[in-house]
Amino acid sequence: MKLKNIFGLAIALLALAVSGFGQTTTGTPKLTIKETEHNFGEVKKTANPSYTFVFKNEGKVDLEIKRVAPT
Amino acid sequence: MTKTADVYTNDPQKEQFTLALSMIVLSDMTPKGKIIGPFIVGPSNQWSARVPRGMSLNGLVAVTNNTEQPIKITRMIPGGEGFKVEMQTLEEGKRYSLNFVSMANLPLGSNKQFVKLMTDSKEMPELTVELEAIVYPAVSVSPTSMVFENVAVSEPDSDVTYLSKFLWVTLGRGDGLQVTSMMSDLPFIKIKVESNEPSGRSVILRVGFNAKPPVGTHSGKIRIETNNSDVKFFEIPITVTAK
Repeated sequence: MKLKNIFGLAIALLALAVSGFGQTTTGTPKLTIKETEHNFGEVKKTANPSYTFVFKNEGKVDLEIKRVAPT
Repeated sequence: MTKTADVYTNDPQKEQFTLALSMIVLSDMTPKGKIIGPFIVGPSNQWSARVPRGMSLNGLVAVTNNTEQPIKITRMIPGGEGFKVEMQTLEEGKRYSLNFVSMANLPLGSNKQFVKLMTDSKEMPELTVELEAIVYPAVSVSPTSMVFENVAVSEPDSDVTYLSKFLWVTLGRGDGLQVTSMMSDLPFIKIKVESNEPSGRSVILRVGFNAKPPVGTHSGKIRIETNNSDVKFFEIPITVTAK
């Protein structure tokens, strides 16, 4: 199960989402996210499930993802 | 399983947060084993293993309901005291396991125990799992008899001291085996330790001649004594035919 890859995909999508909403004005970024956990339930060993965490920046300046540390 | 990722941002309200993905990985959709009625019993409903005397062994038998409808195992009857048996419910109505360990004091030979599983299935209200522990001596010797045939002794210059055969004395499990004595009631037979395995699990003995045997057939015994309290000595028949 390539969960690290899933996280990589999620972060890539996050970057795209953030760049669309960010603006270079004064103020602070404001990250909103609907959920931070997802349970796939029962999964066959051979399956390759994926899930996307969607982030949104509702602030006035660009949101930066400084670092992602998968376990 | 669960995997997490810590995310760090420049949002002062969410400088760090954690994402988590979790799942239950099903190792095998079709369990392996023997199909018995509505069940799959793995590896089989007949479990057997060998164990040296004085030792115990353990094992596991999985019982899986192979139908869509739940079947409960309502009771487990161990069926004896040679094995200590426990049943574990992995998924009620679907998967169970029998965990068992044999007693260390079982006698030599085959020791069987029939475990009965009572179910709420009309098709198979009772499922039997056979457990067998084959207990062998803590120390064994190989071969168990020795024969020297056609030993040439008639010629004046014939030499029998180069003739020899090996005996292996082996400890079933553990270490520290020692051969404390070795002898034969045939006076021309010589026995010596050829090598000791460093782990103390086996000793190799060389059986040969220290003198010419008289012409004819001679039968006797080789006696080997060990430091093992369970098998203090062996007696191995030996036959020598000299011509």
